[in-house]
Amino acid sequence: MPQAPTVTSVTFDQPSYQPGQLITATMTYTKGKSDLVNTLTGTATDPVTGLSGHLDQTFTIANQITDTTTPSVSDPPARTWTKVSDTGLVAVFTATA
Amino acid sequence: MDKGVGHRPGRRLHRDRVTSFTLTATATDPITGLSGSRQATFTVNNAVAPLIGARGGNTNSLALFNTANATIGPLNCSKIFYSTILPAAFPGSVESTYPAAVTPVVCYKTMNTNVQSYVASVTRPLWLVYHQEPEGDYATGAQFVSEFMSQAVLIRQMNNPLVKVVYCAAGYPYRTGGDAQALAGNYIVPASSVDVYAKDVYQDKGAIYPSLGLSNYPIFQNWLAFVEGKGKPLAITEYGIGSTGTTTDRQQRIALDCGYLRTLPPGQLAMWQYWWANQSPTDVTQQYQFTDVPTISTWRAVISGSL
Repeated sequence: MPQAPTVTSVTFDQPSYQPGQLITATMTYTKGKSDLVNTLTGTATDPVTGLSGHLDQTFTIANQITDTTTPSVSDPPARTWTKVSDTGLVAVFTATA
Repeated sequence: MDKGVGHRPGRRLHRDRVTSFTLTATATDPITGLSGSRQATFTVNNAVAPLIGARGGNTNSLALFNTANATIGPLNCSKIFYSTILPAAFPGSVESTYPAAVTPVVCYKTMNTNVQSYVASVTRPLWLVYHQEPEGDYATGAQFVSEFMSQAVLIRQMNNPLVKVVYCAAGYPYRTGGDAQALAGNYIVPASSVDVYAKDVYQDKGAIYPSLGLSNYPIFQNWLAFVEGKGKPLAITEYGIGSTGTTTDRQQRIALDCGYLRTLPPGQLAMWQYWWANQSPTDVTQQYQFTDVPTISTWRAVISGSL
């Protein structure tokens, strides 16, 4: 089973801002995971006629691959947020109050 | 102008306007299309300083205002008086000639319907006062309240958000033993008919200013008790300390009153105006104008919010 990413925390560098001040928001998150999906093709071949029939079937290997995950923030319709860093676990965004 | 002569932890002398925003943080897995999110709130405080200004003298003269503005300013509000009706329109009026940053507090005294044409033509923030300092001018406070409310209806029918409806109380009638109707609260207009409760308060004629200033001045406190719980902004639209002491005395009392006004609940004080004029050539208790550097510095600190 794939696992959805989770946002584990969102914090601000101060509790309140004056207009024009820089807001720094830090989010921590876990990446999503997906399983390896394979496709098996079954083929039956008549060697006399050379004809064949095919059927594709998928199967999953539950290897829980960690996916690249995209963090983002928004507070519509107020302001534009810029991602200034992203470690894969912690992402930092800034905007103007 | 007045015919006669008023604790919590400290704050800055400004009005807080805090707006809360919700930030949504989302992590998205582009492979599976799944995502997770979480919300958090932050606030932006669009703090607004109270309007701090002055009347420059005993007439509406722009020149007098400009002198006051240059001497003790920058000022961003000033009182204007019409002894009878308002002009038919704001354009062309004396208040329209005041600097754009100045909010005029326009007082008129005769009930009329042309208040609507005036209000409709106002193009800048403006406070409108019907019959300022009514206390003592009526047989009963109820009579004034009825008149005020009828004017408020006319003003509000014009739906001009630039115009505030202001009730402005006198000072002297609220002294201990003063006007019985005033002290009974009979002049206090209902909150539904007013945007700001304003007050004029001076050093009492022939008396020294109270040692603890507005915080223990009955002229102020007796009025404040009627209006402070009504959920409306408060204002001091005339304020003056006479020349009975040294300049240091006046400077210290302005600072003292600023400190006291800071203790009002956040958002309550919307305006503070000094009556920068001398009302009497002989009575020092009515000589309010100051020109000394320390007092000017103190008033400018009130303006900047640094006091």
